[in-house]
Amino acid sequence: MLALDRIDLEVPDGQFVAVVGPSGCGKSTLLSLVAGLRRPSSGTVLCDGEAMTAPMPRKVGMVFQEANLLPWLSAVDNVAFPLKLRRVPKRERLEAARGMLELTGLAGAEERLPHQLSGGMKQRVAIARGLVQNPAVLLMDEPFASLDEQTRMVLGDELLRIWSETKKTVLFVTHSLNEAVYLADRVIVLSARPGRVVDDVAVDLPRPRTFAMTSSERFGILKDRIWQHIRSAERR
Amino acid sequence: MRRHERFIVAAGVLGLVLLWEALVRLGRIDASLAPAPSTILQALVALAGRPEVRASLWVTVWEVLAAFFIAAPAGLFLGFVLAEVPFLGGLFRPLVNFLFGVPKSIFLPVFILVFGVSIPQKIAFGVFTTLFVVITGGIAAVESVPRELVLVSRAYGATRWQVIREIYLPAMAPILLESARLGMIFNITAVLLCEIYGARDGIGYRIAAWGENLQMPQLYAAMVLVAVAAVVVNELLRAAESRLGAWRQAP
Repeated sequence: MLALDRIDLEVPDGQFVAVVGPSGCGKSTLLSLVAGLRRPSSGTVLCDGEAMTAPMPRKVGMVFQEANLLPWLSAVDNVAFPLKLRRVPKRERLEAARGMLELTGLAGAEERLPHQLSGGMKQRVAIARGLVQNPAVLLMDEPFASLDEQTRMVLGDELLRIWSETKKTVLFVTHSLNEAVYLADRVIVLSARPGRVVDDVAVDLPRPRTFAMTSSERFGILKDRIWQHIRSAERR
Repeated sequence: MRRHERFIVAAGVLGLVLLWEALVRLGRIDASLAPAPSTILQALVALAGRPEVRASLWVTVWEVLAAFFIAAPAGLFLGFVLAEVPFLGGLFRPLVNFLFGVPKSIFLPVFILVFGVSIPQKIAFGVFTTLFVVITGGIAAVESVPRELVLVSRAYGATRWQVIREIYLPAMAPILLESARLGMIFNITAVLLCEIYGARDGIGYRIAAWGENLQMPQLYAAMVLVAVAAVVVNELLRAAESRLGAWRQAP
């Protein structure tokens, strides 16, 4: 079955791109193609001009919907895990991991096991793990979907802060139009399966983004434009 | 257990032993059927000094360990294969499940016919009994490995071997140790059953002989010895299990 059709997408360095679309439109498939976890049946995914035919963790970090931490490893060991796979010496990788936990606001929780962390804290650990190899690209597959509204807002702001500090290119899949418009420079709207790009919305809200903007007229117009696409797709 | 709980348990056991001692001395319990704890203790010390008894003990230890170290890796391997290869799993898992519920003791005469009354027969029967526990545990352990963690590690560039070492092994460890512990209980039971049923040596063989000759202090001393050894092995494996499985605690 065809999941995605004629996707032609170019994301410049340092851009924050949100991907939205009706359920089952292939958003997650798109992300796993970009991650190199799957290969497209035709076409190519290029990162920095290099074809992604297998995961390239040094270039592309990934954050999943559930934090998916290794439950037997402490927070700091979870963050250091991608470096361990690359056989980075222990001292070096723990140092890098501690730095990342500090960046994501988890200094002091290094030695805790995942079951001792709240949902939001787990997702912070997952983001730190995605960033620990200093990849140019961060792929996020509905990273805040299982969090409550408030935690979600706080983490959204945190993500924007981290993004502005680290200058990553972010590809962010979400179900939430609010989240997409609030966070991104650009929102890609996919159609129902097989997913095609039906709109490419430039979000011209100034940065830094503030909560007040979410009730501004411009925010509403952008959200409405995206919603019309999704509604017509869901109806079909 | 907290400290005062341990104290209460220890006091309770001591109280029972003292009560038993008192009842025997008062003539309320027939000493020829249940000798006093002090008599059993003397018999235990005497047995420990007899080289032929020590030799019997080592025979049993050797049989138990040999059976365990054959059955545990073999069962783990078979469990892994049955869990990971759908075709073989579909074919053999129902069979394993059915045989799991069958009392293995009914097969003992067959083992004697095939292997004779010998040490290999004890080991073979121990392996046979233990295998089903470890296979079942191995399947459960493989199935407890979260698929999404395999995906995560692949996204971070893990090789096949790294997936096994970093995800499969730690995820499986608590259940594997648990099934090793259960397997060991079955294994000890099987080997002793063999020895009591028909053997030329081993502590089970001595237990049967002492029982038939109504040598009650020796019989009870051997029972205490085997019971203590089994409890120690069980608790050691349990301690390892809870150490390696601390991460499983509910949030």
